[in-house]
Amino acid sequence: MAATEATTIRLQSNDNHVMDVDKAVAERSLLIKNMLEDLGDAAVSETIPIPNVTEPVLRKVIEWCEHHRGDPPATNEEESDTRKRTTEIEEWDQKFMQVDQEMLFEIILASNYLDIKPLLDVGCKTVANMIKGKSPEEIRKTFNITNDFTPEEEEQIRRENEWAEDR
Amino acid sequence: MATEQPLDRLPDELLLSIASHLPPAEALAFSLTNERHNRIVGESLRWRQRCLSGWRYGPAPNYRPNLAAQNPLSVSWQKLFETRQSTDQKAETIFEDLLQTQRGRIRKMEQVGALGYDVKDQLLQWRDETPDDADDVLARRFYARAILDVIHRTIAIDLWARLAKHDLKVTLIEALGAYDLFVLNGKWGDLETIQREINRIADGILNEYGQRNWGQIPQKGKALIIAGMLREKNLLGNPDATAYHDLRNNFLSMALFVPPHTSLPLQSVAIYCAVAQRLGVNAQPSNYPGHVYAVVDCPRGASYDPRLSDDLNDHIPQLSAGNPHTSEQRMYLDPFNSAHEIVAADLSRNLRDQRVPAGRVAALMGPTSVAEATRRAGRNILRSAQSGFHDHDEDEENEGGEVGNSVGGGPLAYETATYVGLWNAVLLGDGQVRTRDHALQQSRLYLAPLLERLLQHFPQEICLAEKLCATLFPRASDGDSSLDNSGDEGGNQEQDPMDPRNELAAFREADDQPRTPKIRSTVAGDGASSGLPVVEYRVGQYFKHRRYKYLGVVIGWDETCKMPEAWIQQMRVDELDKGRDQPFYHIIDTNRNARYVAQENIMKLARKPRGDILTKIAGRYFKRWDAETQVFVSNLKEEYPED
Repeated sequence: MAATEATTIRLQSNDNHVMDVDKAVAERSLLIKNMLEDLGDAAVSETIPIPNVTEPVLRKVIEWCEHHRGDPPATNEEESDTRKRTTEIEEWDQKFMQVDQEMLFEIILASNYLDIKPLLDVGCKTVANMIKGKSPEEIRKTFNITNDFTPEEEEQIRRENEWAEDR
Repeated sequence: MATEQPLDRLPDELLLSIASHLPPAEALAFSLTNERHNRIVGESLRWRQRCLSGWRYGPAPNYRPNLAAQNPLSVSWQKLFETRQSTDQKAETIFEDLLQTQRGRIRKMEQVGALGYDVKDQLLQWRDETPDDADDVLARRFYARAILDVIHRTIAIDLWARLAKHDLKVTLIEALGAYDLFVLNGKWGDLETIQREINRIADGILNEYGQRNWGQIPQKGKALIIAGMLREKNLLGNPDATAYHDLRNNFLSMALFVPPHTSLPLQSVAIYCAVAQRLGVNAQPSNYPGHVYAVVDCPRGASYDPRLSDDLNDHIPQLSAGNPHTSEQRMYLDPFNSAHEIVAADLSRNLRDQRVPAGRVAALMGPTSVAEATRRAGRNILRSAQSGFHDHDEDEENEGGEVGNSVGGGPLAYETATYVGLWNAVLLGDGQVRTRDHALQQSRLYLAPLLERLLQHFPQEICLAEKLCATLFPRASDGDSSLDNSGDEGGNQEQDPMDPRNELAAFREADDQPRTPKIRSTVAGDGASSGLPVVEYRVGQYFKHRRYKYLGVVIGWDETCKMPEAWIQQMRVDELDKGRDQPFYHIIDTNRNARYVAQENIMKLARKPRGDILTKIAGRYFKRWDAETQVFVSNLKEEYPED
């Protein structure tokens, strides 16, 4: 079949590293996919700049795309609905996300920019899992969040939200 | 130490995506970490809270408990809140308008009803929380109640119609619960509520045993344990044999939620089977004549397990004593009467004793279909309705006995039961027919009495009748009809003479027209000189019939008897003291029968009516009871502007 021809395209990170990637893998990114469609065959011979993503992050993202190249496209509404209801992450993705926070947030931003929904989802779930079971103070510590409430404000907000304990 | 805060680099929508994976309490904790998180996540949580505390009901997929169970931010709560609020406003505008004028009430009630469960909260509020001293308290409560009925009955009828089309997705609990929906006016009987209660009971049993232990118990043991535990909780059976046919026993929600939790065998078995199925036991109601058993089909080889600990085996009553290590695949229980296994041989011997042909035995010993169980329930309800009528003397001012109250009130509940029975008969037939033509014929048989009741008491349900007629009398022009017309008589079927849809359309049309006012001075005298008959009573007068003693309320009048000659002859009107030339009154009695009564038979009552007449009937015609004048305040001002 013609589709098996391994077309590669060339991506360039914002720190000017160039890497060759299978077209099918790169197209996990809807941004790249749409760009390739717009440019037509011409794109194959050109270098595509990815101005918002650095080389280590781009490599990481492509690693994910490689692993998930065969996944069925998850476009229908129902599926995205069930996806949201759980924070379960498949094992490979869990390992993949065992990176420092810096990298974790870079991956989230990159997948958002490149429009790779399933990866964005895995990233958000990973962060959600880091929040789960913690008090506000513990969450602040985890993510180095500066508490910019006055004690009065904090107390008031807490009171307004007392309902949340019962569901 | 770096002051870098990684979360600050995420745009608002990504913060919200992260929070959408958190349960409420944890999303809240996150929102409390700083001002930005509070603004973005906290705000969304507060919209959620507004939705959940403001409304209990929503359309099926968004039904409140389902929504609440989801992660809090996976729904756009603000949008939901705003949509819902505008629906409420729309319903309120139409509702206020229909209270104001008689014209087009059917259409307006349909419009509100079409909003479905989205307006259920508001309708319940109008029905239950309109203050006693509101100017139109009776009307407001009455029409809210009537629209609730439209909403619930639409769902019930749709379920039965699906059953009639052999839709296997309709569960027994849904098909039987539809009777609750139809009759109980939303106080009990939401299918979701019933199903959740079943799940809760099943999960309770599972918890008591522990998931692991439960998994080890063989099917038969599970079946017996479930029967024992449900009986222990008093959820099955009816210890009071004299109250066997009480109307309340026909309803799943009465059995599940309302003490003393009694039910008929069919409902007991349905509850048993639903709980059992959730716990992995394949139980179904039997097809057996005269009594409903539970038929439990066990997977091959499942039986008493000697490897189980003694402790667990102790929990399996009867098993070892009965037929240990049996290879039998099927067992019978009678959860209505006991927690023990019923010996199959006894059941089949009974059938033979009753001279059931051998060929029929297997079918009668097997499980029944959901449709057949639903028919059975319908027949039971009709029977309860018939036996219930004798309990109520027409002469008595009824307060709606305890039984009546719990299912919606006195004789009216029995009347509604007759109505639901007719619907069921039209939709599902008697199950004996072979051909579609035969089925249609049979349905049409019940159609006339059904429509008569509907138009008289539930005119707002006319859309349900129209839908029904479209299936019973398929026209070539009914594009949406799924029935196959091609093989039938073809084009000349355009108008079946039996098809009442033209009459229904005319009825609808008439309701949409302005009423012709009746002015007293133009047709009736003042008692002095004119020589015209004096119409003594006004719309809203409460009275007792001089001869027949029943109680009723005047809802209209004619200066003389305006009935056709045949009626006058038949009722021997001319034998009355004042004959046909006296004023006659349209009245509604305490059993909601419409009658036409001569003035000389009206004995005015100067006291406040009690029971159904006040709570369920008067509101259709009146705004409230006026203690000073001792009459109902008319809401029929367009027809009788001076009353």
